[in-house]
Amino acid sequence: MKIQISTAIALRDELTDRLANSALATQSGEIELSPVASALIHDAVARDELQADIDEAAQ
Amino acid sequence: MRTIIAHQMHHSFVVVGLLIWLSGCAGEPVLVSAPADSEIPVFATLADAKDPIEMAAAPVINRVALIRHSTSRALKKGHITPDDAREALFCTDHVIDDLNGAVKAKNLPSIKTASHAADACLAQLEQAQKARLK
Repeated sequence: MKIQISTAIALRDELTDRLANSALATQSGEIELSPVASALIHDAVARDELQADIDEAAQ
Repeated sequence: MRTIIAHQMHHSFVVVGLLIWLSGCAGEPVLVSAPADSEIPVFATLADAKDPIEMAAAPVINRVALIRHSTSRALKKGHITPDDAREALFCTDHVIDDLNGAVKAKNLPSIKTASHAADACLAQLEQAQKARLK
């Protein structure tokens, strides 16, 4: 899967912040992502699918 | 969710407000538990305040994802060419890059500009579909 560099940086920065702040972790040991990070992951999946569809259509 | 129990803090409005503010800064939703007759719930409205950058940017990113889904569908149906789809991919990539920069810089006007750019990407896609279907 390919994602944009700016998206990778944004996700990396958020995960770093969240891991550094244990107060943001839930009792089950999970970390809740912000709405922006969740949307970025959703978009990254859509982007990857679109890229695959373009490659397939171009063949 | 962080719960602030204010039952014993009827007159400590400043303390409760400060706790809500600090939790809000950490991006946490806050539940204030207080007696119904206290004035504490006034501060609860503060707890609903979310980061305006997050609230502005997330819907735009979701809209970009939808534009990408629409582009994929249109391409599969033959309503647009692979070149049109590439244009849409390029356009939406630009919006996401701008949004990531705006979120990092906490720049609300730039998020609004990126939102308009997303609208332009959608308009471009619709234009390509119309041209193809004619």
